[in-house]
Amino acid sequence: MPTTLILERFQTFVTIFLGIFIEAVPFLLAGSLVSGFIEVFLKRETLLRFAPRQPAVAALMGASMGMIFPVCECGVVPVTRRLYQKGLPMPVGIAFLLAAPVINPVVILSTYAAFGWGPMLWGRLVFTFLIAFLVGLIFARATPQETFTPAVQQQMQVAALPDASPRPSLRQGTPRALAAAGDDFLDMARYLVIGSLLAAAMQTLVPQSTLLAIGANPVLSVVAMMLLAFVLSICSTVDAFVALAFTGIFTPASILAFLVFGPMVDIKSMTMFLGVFQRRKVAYLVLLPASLALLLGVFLSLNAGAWR
Amino acid sequence: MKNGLKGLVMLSLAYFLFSRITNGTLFFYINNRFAWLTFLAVIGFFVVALGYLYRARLVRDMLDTTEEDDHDHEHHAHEHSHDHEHNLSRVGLVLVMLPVILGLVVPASPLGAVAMGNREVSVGRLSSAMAPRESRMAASNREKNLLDWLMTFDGSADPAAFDGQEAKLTGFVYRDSRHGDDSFMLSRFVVSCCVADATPIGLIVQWPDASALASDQWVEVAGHFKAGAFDGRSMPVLMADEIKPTAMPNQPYLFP
Repeated sequence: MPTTLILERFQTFVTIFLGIFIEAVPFLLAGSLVSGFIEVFLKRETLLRFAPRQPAVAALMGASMGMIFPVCECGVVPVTRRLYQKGLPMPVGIAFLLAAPVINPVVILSTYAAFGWGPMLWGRLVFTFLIAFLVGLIFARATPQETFTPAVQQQMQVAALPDASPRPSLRQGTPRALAAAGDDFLDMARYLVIGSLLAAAMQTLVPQSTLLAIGANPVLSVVAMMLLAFVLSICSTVDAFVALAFTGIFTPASILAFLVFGPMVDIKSMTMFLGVFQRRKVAYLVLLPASLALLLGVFLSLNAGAWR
Repeated sequence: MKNGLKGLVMLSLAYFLFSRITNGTLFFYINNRFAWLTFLAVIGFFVVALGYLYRARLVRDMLDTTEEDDHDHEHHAHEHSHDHEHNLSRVGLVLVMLPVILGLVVPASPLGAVAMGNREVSVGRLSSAMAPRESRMAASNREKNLLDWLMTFDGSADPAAFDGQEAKLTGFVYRDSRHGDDSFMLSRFVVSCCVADATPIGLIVQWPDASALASDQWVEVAGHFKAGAFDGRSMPVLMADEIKPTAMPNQPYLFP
């Protein structure tokens, strides 16, 4: 390969990397700010009073919490981590982490704008909710020791110390909240950078035609769209418009799999999970939604005429 | 000062995003619909930086003064245990600064002919349904851009239906082994969110001197359509009457 071509390829790689980063970074910052203010102004006791103990109720609540915290898949990670440090029950956080990037007003609106009130919008909401609920239930049995990174566990212990100090005033607390938000951002941004680098490298090196060639097969097209969602790593607030661009090539069932799976897991959110969870649990968090979304997509392709 | 350093990182991120807005390269990366988010992020980074710098001063003041407010002291000790895990490691610092470093070192450039190599190119029609825009479809022939024309072609099964219609279009030149000496592809990227979802579109242009045009050169083509074929598929082809080299537009991508 001539040197100029390598240089131009590298420039393409940098452009795509910066594109993903610049698009995602406002959302990560917003999530970090929410997290910083939770850290300073939300008392652990308050959270524990409202958090349900019963696993099914907890998972249901977690899957619906995006309606109150409208975050995408970048912003949801620091918020979830902070809530866990404050003692949030396991199933609530997992269901929130997976569902919130879709079950929130902003994404519902953008999906409506792209697809209208149709089976695609309802399917996306219902199946995202179901998968998040199920994975949340499965995680109900996991202990914090085997789930979180040592750093997060240490923070949980610090937060669990009795704290008699009154809630700080807004003037006192805001600089602290901002610094906590900054710390969260700096912690998570490195995973966002690694994820964006990987996604940009995949896009520069792997020809799209290899994925698109399998678009016609009902089963393989579901796999292809899920891989595409994973590689593209687009923000959930806008991925509906991107999915729209594939409606001619791919089956509706595979578009639905793209819309359900992409916001839960993609390259950059997976690397960000590593800042909260131990590697084995990250693997579960990727593989469980992936297999459930795959099952859903393949089942619809093979059995429901309208989705073929 | 650790807080001071973190504050500087935040300031440099704010500066980096702000400079993308002011030097116009922001649209090399994202759809202009989302520019306000970048603007808010600049403000957000700036405010967080202020928070860090304020705390850096607070700590310095505390070291300076011998008489400390008891409450503040206790407060600080408590916070210190919080801060413990937040030492920004050197690797972490480099990773967070990587976008700024790459953005400043590598000259900013939008996607071009090289990036078309491993993407699906929609030639002469859209390979997929894009959101129909009634407002754009109503545009007169002179105002239509490349994407508008391809959408118009999608609405008709007969490539000869547009014979004789005139168009004036801007795009960059793309050529590969499928093009003879007298034709090239006039191309643009369509970006719905950021360059991660960029889709190249193209229109075949007939021009006797096509082989003299370099790839990635931006041109303005005036001509009329005539049914033709490319890669074994029939489609409307633009017969060029005049080709003018032109500067890259401020917004190199088209937004659906």
